[in-house]
Amino acid sequence: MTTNLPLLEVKDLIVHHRSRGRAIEAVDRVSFSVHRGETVGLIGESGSGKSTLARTILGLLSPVSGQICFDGVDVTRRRRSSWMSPPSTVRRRMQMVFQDPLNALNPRSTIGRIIEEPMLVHGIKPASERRRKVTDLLSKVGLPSKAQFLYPHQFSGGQRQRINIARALALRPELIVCDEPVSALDLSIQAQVLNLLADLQIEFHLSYLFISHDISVVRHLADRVIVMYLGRIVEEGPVDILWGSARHPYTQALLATVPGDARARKHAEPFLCADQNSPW
Amino acid sequence: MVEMRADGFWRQYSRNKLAVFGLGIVAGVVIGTLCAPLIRPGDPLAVVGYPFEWPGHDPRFPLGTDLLGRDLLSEMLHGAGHSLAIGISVALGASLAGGLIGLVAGYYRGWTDAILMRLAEIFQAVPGFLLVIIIVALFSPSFVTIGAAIVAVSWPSIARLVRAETMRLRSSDFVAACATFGMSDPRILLTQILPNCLPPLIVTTSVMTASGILIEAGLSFIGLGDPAALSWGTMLATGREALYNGWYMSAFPGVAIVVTVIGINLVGEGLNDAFNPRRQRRGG
Amino acid sequence: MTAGISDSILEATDIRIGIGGALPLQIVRGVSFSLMPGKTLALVGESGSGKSLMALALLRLLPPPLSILHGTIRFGDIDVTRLGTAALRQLRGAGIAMVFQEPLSALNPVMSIGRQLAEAVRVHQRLSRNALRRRVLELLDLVRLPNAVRQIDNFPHRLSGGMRQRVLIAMALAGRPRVLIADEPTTALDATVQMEILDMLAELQREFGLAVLLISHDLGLVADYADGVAVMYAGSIIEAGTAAHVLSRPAHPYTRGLLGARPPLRPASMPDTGKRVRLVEIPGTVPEPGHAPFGCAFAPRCPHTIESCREAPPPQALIGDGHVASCIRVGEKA
Repeated sequence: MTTNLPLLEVKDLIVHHRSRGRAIEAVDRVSFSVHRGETVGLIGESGSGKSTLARTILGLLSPVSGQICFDGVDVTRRRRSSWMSPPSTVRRRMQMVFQDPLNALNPRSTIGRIIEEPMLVHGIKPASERRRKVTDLLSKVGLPSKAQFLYPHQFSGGQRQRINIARALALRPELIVCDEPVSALDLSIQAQVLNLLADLQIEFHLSYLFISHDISVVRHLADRVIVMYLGRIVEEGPVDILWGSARHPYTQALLATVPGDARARKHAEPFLCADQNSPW
Repeated sequence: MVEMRADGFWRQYSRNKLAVFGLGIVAGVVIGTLCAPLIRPGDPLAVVGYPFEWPGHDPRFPLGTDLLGRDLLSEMLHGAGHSLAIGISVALGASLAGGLIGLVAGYYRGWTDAILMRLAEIFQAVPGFLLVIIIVALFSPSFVTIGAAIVAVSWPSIARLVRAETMRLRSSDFVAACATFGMSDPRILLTQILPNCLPPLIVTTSVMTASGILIEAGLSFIGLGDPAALSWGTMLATGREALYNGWYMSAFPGVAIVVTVIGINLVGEGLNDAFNPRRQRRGG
Repeated sequence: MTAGISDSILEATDIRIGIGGALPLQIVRGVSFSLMPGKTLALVGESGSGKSLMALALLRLLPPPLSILHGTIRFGDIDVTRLGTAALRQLRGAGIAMVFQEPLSALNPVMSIGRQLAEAVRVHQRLSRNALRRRVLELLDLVRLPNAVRQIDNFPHRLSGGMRQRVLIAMALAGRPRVLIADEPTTALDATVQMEILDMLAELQREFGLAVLLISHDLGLVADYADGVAVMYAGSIIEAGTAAHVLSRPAHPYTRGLLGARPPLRPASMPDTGKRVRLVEIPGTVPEPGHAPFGCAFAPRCPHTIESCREAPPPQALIGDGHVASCIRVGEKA
């Protein structure tokens, strides 16, 4: 039934990346895997290499050495569309949700166009079918169908992130890499988007590589976690690590920074999550 | 905050009263050009009256006649078209050439960028007007050579502008998103990057129209204009001969050029403000 | 929180901020609070709540066309709202100082940090070159910047985010202020650095008896560092009290929603399915600044709304010792 072959496997990946004026983010022999249906949380602060890793996995950057395998196939070097051929199929099955919701949307395109774009590149016809999918996706992320005629600047941050998610779902991918998807959002909106991601995972049978610097968010969502520091994985294991059984000193330092008065929360909780059906 | 885009744009534009005024001037010139055959049918270069008629003397010629007895009003109206035509075609030509080069240089970087930018620098090294004179003098003056010469000196600044915008946009997440699902580079350039370069490009293009008109007038004034054409510039050239006792012959085309150029520049500023609304109403 | 007015070092009374004129627009709709010396008051809210505008207003730094439409701000016994330009300039930095969120954009990229600090000192004191240098080193030492002597000549881009923020705090302290306004001082920093900076701030507070107004969207952070908490929504304070009270016994539905939106501090799973608990969502979005709905601004999103909620803005109800909340249903059993 479920094969034990990991959906995504990264082996000994080394990536060099320079950004002018900014710290060098490099990936230094990273290996890990993501299995079907699971959420792997990747924790790292700035300079850890997490974003470089994400972009390399998605084929935006080329590694110096190492291998990326998707569903058993080596996709380290994969094709974008050209004159002769459509893009390689892995580009349908793996997608990304970016951190800054506004920056990830073309300010001069309508929402409908933005969500349709992946379908156009992969030759999904006819136009009516694409439009139907756009409306369907919008409703799945909780936006009205008329949103497709509007422009990004007419939406709030949380709504824009939903649009990003809708676009990521357009080609029915199997793996979605979420690069700090809620870091730029207000707290109450974060909850909306995180709940949405959790719901969509069930509905669409998705696997997530969830990247964040926020431990509380990662340990809420992830099944397994990886902690990165200066380009290397320093700790790896089931999410229990983040609930107190961390061994590496860096992970422990990160855990110590989780703010929150535990005593205060304990008092608050009976008010809050007592009954899932009633509002707070 | 749901508003139709075009509607909102006009509202933004019309906040700037001067910009609306400029638009009025430009509209006036265009209407004058279009109505020329109606108001003054016939050949504007035909001799129709006594030479050196001052404006107001003869009710048939409200603007007077030039030193050959040609109707100045007719010349002004018909000449407007030529000046505008040069301005617009030069602006479009430079935008096309500069825009394409800028896009390619800014997106692909590396050697392509280096070579293209050195090319731009070569064209920018020689003072613009001088280069135009040289080109036009080498290949005898005509609409095409004059137009090409002006484009040759104008494209580098547009290329740089588009290149800068392209480099900025290239690192945006929405471009990365398109690459993620496999969009090809040319398609990204055309559908993602170009539309976002348009606002500054449009503004620069409109201003370039004005400079095209000015350069053509300057060329004509020094005698390097298209001898077969009638434009405000050639009128200036002719009027030069009669500056002492018939200065009105130069005044009319001169003032017309100045007013039109101001009008176009005001439109350019208005477009700029409309594309980048500076007043922020939201608070933190 | 509502101790005698004469005790507070900074007091805001019914501040309304917005755009006046023919079509008035109110973004901050009547905010009052008092800040006690040596204490930290946290102003908590999401974007669109008006908290940053409130901070700018305290130093009369509102960008036009925004202005203080109503209300008074008292610093000690000075009425800040009526101060003239010269007196304001003296107040800024020496009485009340501010630290902003983005260290890189708050620092001049082409000036060494030593020079920038020196400029900050010079605004308030005339010192000889040597005395100036000593004072700069003293300030850098206060904020525990390592290798201060060598860092003086460094430019901002060579420093890490945390170090830059320390420099900014040093600049804020240069005039020996009594009040420090910190607008999201650690949001742009890594988690490990955030704690260091806030701990340092707390120490400086103890050492100098500084009053700190901490503006943040992060309730968890606030729990660890604030004495008092005021929660802002759509331009008004909807709940205020001591940090312990507000965070452990939140009375206003919005505060509860915010607290519930944070991922839990203990592993939590639903009893029947064992799947992860859903985070508490507040449906809808924050109203556009200046366009709060009539009556209670939170009513459209609140699960406990009744008719009377929309009829008039709810008055502040006293719940406990200094704990207030603007909700008409706050006394009822849920």
